[in-house]
Amino acid sequence: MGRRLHGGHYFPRFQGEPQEGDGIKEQPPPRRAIVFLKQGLCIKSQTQRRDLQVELSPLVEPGDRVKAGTIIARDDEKISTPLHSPISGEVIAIEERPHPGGGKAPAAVIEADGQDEWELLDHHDPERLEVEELQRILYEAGVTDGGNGGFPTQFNTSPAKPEDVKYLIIDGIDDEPYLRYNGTLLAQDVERSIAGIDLMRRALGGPAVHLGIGGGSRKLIAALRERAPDWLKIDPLPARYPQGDEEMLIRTILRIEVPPGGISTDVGVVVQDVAHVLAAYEAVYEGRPFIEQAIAIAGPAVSEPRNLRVRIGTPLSELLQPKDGGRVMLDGALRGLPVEDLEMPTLRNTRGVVALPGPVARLLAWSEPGFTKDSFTKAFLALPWLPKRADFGLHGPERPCVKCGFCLDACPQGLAPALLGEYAAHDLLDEAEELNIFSCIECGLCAYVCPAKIPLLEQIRAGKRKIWEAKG
Amino acid sequence: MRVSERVDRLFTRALEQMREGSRLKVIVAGTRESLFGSSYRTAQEVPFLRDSLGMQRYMVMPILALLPAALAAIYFYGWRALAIIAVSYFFGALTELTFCAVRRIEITEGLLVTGILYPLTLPPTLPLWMVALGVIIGVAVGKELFGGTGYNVFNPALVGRAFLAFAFPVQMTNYWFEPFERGFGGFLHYAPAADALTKATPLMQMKFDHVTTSWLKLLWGNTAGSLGETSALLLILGGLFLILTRTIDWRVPLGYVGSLGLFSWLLWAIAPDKFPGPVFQILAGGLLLGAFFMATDPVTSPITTKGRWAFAVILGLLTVAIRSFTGFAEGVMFAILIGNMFTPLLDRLTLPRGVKGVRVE
Repeated sequence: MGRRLHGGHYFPRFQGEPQEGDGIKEQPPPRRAIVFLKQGLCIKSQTQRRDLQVELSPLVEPGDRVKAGTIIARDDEKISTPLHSPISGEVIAIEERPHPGGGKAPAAVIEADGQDEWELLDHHDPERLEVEELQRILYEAGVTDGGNGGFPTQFNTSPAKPEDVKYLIIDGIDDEPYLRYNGTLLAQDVERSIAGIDLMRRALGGPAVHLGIGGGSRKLIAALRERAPDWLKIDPLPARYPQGDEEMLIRTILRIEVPPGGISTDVGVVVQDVAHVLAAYEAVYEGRPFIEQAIAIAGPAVSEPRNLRVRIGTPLSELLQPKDGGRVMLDGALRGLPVEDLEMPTLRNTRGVVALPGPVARLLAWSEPGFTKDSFTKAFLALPWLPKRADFGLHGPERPCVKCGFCLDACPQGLAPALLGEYAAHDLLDEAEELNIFSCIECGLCAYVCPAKIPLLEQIRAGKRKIWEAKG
Repeated sequence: MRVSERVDRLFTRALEQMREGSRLKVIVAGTRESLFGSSYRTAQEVPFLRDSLGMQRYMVMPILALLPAALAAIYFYGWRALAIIAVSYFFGALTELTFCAVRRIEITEGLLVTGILYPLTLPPTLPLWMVALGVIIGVAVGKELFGGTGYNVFNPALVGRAFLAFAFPVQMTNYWFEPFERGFGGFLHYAPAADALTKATPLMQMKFDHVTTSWLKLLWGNTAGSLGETSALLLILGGLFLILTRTIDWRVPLGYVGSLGLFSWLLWAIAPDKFPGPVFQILAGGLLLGAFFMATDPVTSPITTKGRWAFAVILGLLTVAIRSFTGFAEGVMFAILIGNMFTPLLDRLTLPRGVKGVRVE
């Protein structure tokens, strides 16, 4: 059996989160789609393996007509996966646009023609596919860039090779606030999910397969257990954040440690989320390339929180309009990227868009009993049956560390974030490295729990960058 | 929230009157943010979502936990106890404000705890000017000279008390009183009556005259002693509150009380006529106040789990040693101050380097 997650924090459901039973609604194709030609693995952790970020050269020019699913960029040499047009219409520009990850990156802008014609992949009998053919379909459908290490195939989609993979883990954990729909996706069609996992397993040459479930209902676990074939092991796990991170899944399910600064595929494990499993199913059984995905539209400043199935590259302005003073984050409130311009599109690895409220003055807010507050401590009288109100405030001016040790208790990697942050801020880089700063998976819990509201995650990220620069 | 808006507007108007960058402005601006707590300023970097627990709430928790003991102090020794607490807060705040103004930094919440912890360690009839002097020394020398809350090496409350213990040994060790214990007790009096003077706490009676005090009395608290230390029951309740709300780490009080119990049991087993038993040692004197409220001061105790265990055991050993083998009857204050000196070393020796696990070949 696996081992317990060290630290972590169970996030209650916040106001502004889609409800569990709400399902996933279809969003019509956008009038205009923007597809960045830059892509890369290791998106969750911003300062890990920058070498896996690549830019693909476009196969189309402005004026070309494309269908939904037409490949518009691919590069079989670099570690990458082809990119598709998410809508049918005309390419109107290939231009540099601001990227959510910072800086500018080339992107193809496609204007919809309203027809929504699809270019489907070749249809096959899914049961009789050879491994190589299966890998080719997944590659051309754009399914192979899931997870920090990608999905290894013969097409150079990952730093690892398919024959090195010993384990396949499917991440069905709903641990991160606002971005919890893995259980919903699985529950929508258990048969499809299992068929999709089977396709991935076959494409990897039959590794041991684990499905990690956390936060899903008992009914879902029972349904999965009932229909799971012999090769699929269902692992119910606590939905304590960051249980869904690759390092945590690998540790808790397999008891294997990913080395500091390494990624899952370094230790022979491929981790894929439910969205990619379903995309694999759709690619092989229905010939549909991976141009639609489920994302959460959530947050206190969203008028109607919901989970949507949207085309990749949909500008955020078509998905939400934050209430007054709200800020928009791509990929959650814990480690998302702030978005200034709502013309920014969703990316292939986007899991949600969260709108946060602006500042509010509440006199003596700290003296309230806190029926709807969430805290790592039990300092508030939080009533379990009430939905919790998320807190985005700094609670006053900046303060020095009082060494309460909450960050050490919360750190899932068992590090000392308070010291790592302090060392990084004072350029004590050798000391930071000695305390394994590169083991940090950047989950952000340390900064979440800090009562002094020290931006520990930012400090640690900056420290990692400085160490790289010093090493050249 | 109309009250909020009105108060906020008052602050805005006051701040407009002040010169940019002036000392007063820094403090008033900081006070405004602290008062409004929560979302007055929102996080500008990841993670945007933050814990609802801020420093204000964190520092208010020990005060809540000490309230029963403070009320008991009034009940046992009269309203003078409240006067001592008020003097402590007033002069503590004055010292803190002076340093913040000179250094142009915002005032922090550390004083909230020091201000109530320090008076509870004092004898009930200590002259008020000594109370003021002690808190000024405690906050100024014990904390601000090191750089303020978060940077101090020693527990400021105990620095203040240690100063008084050396400067005024007679007033600090000879004026103990039998508590009020009938009816409304001290709630009807200002100070203990002169004929209640006893000159000895249970620990002193034990050490110098080999007179034991009943456990029940120690538990309830109607014995002579410092203002807040006598009622073991209320201190344990307050400590449990802090542990259950996860404000303090349970390891420190458990390790401290446990190791003190173990070491004093060993001594008692060797020479029962010379040393008191473990239960007396735990319930008498300032041990519970120290174990739950002072040894757990986050700033001056280790940050790591292992370090905290070691720290607690060191405190237990030192307390037993001082109580048993020195001229002092009580050793909690010195034990914690000496233990504070071990904190950086213990942290250094036990820094976590990550989850150790199985690595693949």
